[in-house]
Amino acid sequence: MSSAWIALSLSLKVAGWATAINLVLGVATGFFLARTRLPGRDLIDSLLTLPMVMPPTVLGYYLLVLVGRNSTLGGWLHDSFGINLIFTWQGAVLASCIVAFPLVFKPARAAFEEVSPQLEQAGRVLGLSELSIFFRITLPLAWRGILAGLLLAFARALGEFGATLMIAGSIPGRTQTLSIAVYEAVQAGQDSTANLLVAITSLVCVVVLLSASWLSRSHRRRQA
Amino acid sequence: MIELQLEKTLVSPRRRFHLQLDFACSEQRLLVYGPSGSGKSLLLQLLGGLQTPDSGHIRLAGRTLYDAGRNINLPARQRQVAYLFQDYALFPHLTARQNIAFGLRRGLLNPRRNLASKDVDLWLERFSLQDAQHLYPYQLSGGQRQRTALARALIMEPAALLLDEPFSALDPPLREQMRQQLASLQSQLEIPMIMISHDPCDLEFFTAAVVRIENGRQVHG
Repeated sequence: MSSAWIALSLSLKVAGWATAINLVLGVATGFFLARTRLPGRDLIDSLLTLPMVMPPTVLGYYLLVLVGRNSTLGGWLHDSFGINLIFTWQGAVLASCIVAFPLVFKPARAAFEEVSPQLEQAGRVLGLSELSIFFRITLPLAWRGILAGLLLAFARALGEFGATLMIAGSIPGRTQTLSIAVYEAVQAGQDSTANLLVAITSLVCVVVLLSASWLSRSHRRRQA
Repeated sequence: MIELQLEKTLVSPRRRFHLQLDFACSEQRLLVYGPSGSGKSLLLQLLGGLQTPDSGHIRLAGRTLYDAGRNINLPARQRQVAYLFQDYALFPHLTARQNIAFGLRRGLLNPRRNLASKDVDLWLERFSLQDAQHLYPYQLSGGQRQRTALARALIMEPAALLLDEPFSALDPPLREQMRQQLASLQSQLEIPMIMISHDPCDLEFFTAAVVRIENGRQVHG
């Protein structure tokens, strides 16, 4: 019984961190892609969308190769900072982060592109700095679109299975998230545990999705 | 009031536009008149600092805003030039009161809905906007929108006011009414005004010096 709650809290912790990191990186990337005149911007967009279409196990394998102890990056992280991403919950955060990233930066890019450049010019002639314009005009107008993407990313991170299993494994209480615990419970024939885990997961996902659709609806109404 | 000499070439895949102007005007009111596509909107953007000329200089209300020879190019936020956009560009996420107070507040946060400010109260009263001050732009009438945009620009005590086709977004009956309002306003306000228009009615209505432009050049007659 209590192991289900441990798995739930671990899942929420992993998904929460992944969403927070994506909030910063995804919004920055979305803003950059919406504003840059760089010729390669659509190529960058496509490359960053890859995690959404690639099988999570393939992604997990790439991550293992990239940040494993024997890799250059992984060895450097371990030797310089003592950070080890393999078989840790931080590794699960990294996996969830990358898988959910397109769900944040794509809606963010679309939301920023919807903001009329004239409103930003109005802020400029009223004497505002570029930073003030971003926080007082651009971000508030794009915010609901971004938030809807963040909620979807949170739901996606919560359900992340393949890449997480590859990089973080399934250590009960340490890296065994809700979706992995479901798999383990079914494998072990613990039907009542599986039922409980599935019910909890479904409930959380429905709440997140309802909030996302409510947000995007009121977003559209306000723009009209 | 204004003295300028400038060149600007815009290149897009479909057309190439060259603006070349050289004129001075000592009167406080100037109407730049020309058909659409003549370059008058571009001129206004160059004055407001939203675009940069290729060469030349711009002096407005006693200040040099741009001088290629002396390497002067004030950014839009330092020009102290008020700009009334064609469709007003009110901030849709802020109430009329917040819109008017917008430029008064520096920093990263927008003014609060019930911000106390004597200046804002004064402009709301002047433009009969008290009852509409807590409405959002989409809830305002066309006339209220224009007055809110004007108040937002004028509260900054600008050195000059630029008007981009201020009546073209309005229906004809309202257009007439707003013309009269702006005409009475222009007699109250001391600041220099530059208006661009392609509507011949504006020529008759406004007592102003007129510069006619066509295809990027000044024409006479």
